[in-house]
Amino acid sequence: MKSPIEIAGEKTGTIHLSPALRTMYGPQHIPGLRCLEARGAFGHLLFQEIQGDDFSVWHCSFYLNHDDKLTLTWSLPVLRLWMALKCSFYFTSDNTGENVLHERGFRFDYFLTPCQTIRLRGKQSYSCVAVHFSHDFAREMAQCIPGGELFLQNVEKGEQTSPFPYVAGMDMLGAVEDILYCTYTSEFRRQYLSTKTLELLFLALERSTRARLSDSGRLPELVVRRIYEAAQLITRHLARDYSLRDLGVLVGLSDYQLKRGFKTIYNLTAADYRHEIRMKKARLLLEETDRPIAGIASEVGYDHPFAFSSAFRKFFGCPPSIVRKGKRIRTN
Amino acid sequence: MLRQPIMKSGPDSVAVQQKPEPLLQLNLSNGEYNLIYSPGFLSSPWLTFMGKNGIVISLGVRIDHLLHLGHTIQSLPSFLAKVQKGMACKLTNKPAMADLKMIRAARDMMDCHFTGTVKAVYCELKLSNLLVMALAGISGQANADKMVLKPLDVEKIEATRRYLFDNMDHPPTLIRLARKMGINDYKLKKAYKQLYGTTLFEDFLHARMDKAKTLLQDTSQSIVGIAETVGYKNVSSFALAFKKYFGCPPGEYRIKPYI
Repeated sequence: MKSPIEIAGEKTGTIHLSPALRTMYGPQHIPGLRCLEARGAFGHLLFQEIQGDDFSVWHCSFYLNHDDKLTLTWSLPVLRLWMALKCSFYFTSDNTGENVLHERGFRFDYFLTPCQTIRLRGKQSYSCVAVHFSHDFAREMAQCIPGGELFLQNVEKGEQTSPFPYVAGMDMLGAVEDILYCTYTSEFRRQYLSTKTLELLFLALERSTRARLSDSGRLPELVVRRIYEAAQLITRHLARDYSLRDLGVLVGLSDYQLKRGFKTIYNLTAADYRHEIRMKKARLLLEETDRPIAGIASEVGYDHPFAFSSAFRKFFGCPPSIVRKGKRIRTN
Repeated sequence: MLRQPIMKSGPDSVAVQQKPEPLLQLNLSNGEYNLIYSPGFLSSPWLTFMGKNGIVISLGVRIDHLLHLGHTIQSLPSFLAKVQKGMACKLTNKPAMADLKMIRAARDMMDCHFTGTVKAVYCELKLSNLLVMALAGISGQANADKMVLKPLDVEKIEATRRYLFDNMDHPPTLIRLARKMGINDYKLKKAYKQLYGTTLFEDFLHARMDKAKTLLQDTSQSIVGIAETVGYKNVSSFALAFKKYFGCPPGEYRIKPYI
């Protein structure tokens, strides 16, 4: 079988991908997907694919031991929706200058010979998702959105309407997660994946055609890294209510830089980001464990289960007790 | 012909009846849904919802959409048989419970900030997605045999996996392994499958073959030695397993490893 991607590193040389033996259940591994892998002294690359009728979704993760530039060449001319899930990708494609795609940023690309160079730091794990569409599939969807067709035409000409990537909201992130971690099987899986991918494409196109927020200046790389550190601190210590100033002191940024950084990367304030992570964690705990709701509430930083319950209801549209009840019914 | 799965997300319970005689009664409480059929459903003026502040979402499904789902839902054939006869009926006696994904999809539709045709497209996408989830949910709940795993169980299973992989050169049997790790062997088998989607020993085979492959490529260790390292007492059974796995015997693999 020929690999659909060719990879060459500036220092490492050509990297061969081979069908992966699923012996490693690392955090990047998604059960039940076709995977291609390369492992060696340079680090570890893992490409996982979900194939649909008119699209294919790739989850790509990179971990290099040393800084390097990788050139990826895909064998298909494609229209592609590309979203960074972990860390920032600094990349150049075709003849444009270096661009950046931050966590949760996404962009559409169209390549006749899809070739792209990404600059990666060593000892840092990266992951992104790339959805490849057939041309007609995307155009059909674009026709439903005002300005969608024009946008796609521009993409195909290689002209992006905005030099900055767009930032995905909760809805798009949720759709990506649902696609990657779809647990349905057989016929349901096929149908579910195709409806979800359509939804993702719809949301992405819709968002791209709307005006971009003004605050999208380029952040220095050091600041970006520190923002991620701050985000990680928030995620690790969910129960703690860090103020902007506390966070700033811990990662070495002023509170203004933090505020602006969070806004630029996530299009959220730090507090909203924390709230989102809290809610997601709570959902995970509700669905995956049998811990009492009050315990979950305090674990994600709510002193009172009541406050937690109403926040959860506001965020997801249904109270935590219903989620728990559903789980109990399904598992018994 | 239209059939309706009904899903509700609201505080009260709801009954659907047809007058003059109630053909079908359906009680749904918060988050529950079911697939029902009643002759002349949509045109019927006698469809009543009883309840105070409930929100009911009803979704029409064409019958041909259900036909090719075939055996994936246990009670579907008998449901369809009744539908053919024109009898009012419901798919399952006990309603299914919506999960958070479904409730979110319903919410997204109701709270959507789009307008005009964009909204119509969005809702259509959401509806088809909701339908898939609803049917998959019913099928999953009808055929569910998942076990509840406590964090301690998961820990034990992970430890078992590690232990087996670390002791690749003399692999114990499943029963000995389970006893050593203090877990029931039935539970180990079943929970492992649930957690990792494959069986423990299939996984172990992958690991062994992977290791054998690396040893063949990167070292000049003899094939007998490699067979021992990955836990085969007998070289020929190793060679056989290797050939079955990679399609060529280990000796040949060493010469042209790119196959």
